[in-house]
Amino acid sequence: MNWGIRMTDKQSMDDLLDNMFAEARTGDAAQPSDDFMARMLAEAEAHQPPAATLAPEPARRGLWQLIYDTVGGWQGASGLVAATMASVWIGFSGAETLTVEGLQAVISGDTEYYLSDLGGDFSFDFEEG
Amino acid sequence: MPRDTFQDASDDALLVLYANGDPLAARALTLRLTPKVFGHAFRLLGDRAEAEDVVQDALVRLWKLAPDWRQGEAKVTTWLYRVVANLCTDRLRKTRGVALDSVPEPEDDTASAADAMQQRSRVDALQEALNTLPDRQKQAVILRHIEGLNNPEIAEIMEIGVEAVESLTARGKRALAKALAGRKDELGYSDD
Repeated sequence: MNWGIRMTDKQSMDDLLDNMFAEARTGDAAQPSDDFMARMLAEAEAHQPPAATLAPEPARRGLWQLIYDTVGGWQGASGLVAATMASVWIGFSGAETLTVEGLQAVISGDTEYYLSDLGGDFSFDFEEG
Repeated sequence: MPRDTFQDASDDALLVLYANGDPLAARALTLRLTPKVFGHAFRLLGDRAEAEDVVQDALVRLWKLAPDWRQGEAKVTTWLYRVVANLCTDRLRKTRGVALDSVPEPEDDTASAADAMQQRSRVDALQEALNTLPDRQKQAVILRHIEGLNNPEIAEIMEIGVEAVESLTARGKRALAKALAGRKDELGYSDD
């Protein structure tokens, strides 16, 4: 297309424009000042939504706390204590029916004395039953 | 000025971080975007103070929009260039008091811009010549030849077709050549 400039002129004008565009691209004329950049940074911070805060980390639990929680809190712990106490009581109350001979028979495996040495009134019970 | 510490992060990603309250993202995005859009506004308006006002306005709009920004729908720079160009157009319209697109293209024998550029630097001469172009031509030429954007991206910014961009840049470059033709020697270029 001929728009008033000869082809050789057109080529040189294209070169000239390309050079001027390159100079404009790298020149300082269209660069923002440091003062303006600082204002824009302050502006960006001023309009920024606040960061979401993290929930505080829960306190570390100790061993006893862990056991307490594992057995089910105060209900579980009181049940466990009651069961323990009951078994201790059963142990003590049952000891009266044992004699030294009976224990020896159990340990030695001699069954000759086993039933009669359990003491108490077994023969009486049999007679009555 | 501090350097951009998120060199590999996209503008989109930085904007999400910004909306999440990351102060480093705010810094990185500001350092990255401000020079780009300031240069564009300055070249469209030819006035630093006015360019600063426009850029500040455009960036504040971006910061307010950040929490609702939809990733992947539009490029941040495309959106920002469009906002800046619209704000510049509004200012020029108020200054001139006429519709911008009705400004006639320079006549063939008109080289008044070149005549008024005595003893100016080449960059100033280019700016003066750019200011003689109709705004749409000027915007297309600046985006294509100075900002270095490709035609599809310019088409998206200007909300026109790629062919229209090609036409605007060709006509704009031709008008610039006319405006500067008589100044070659003065600008340091000769045919020898």
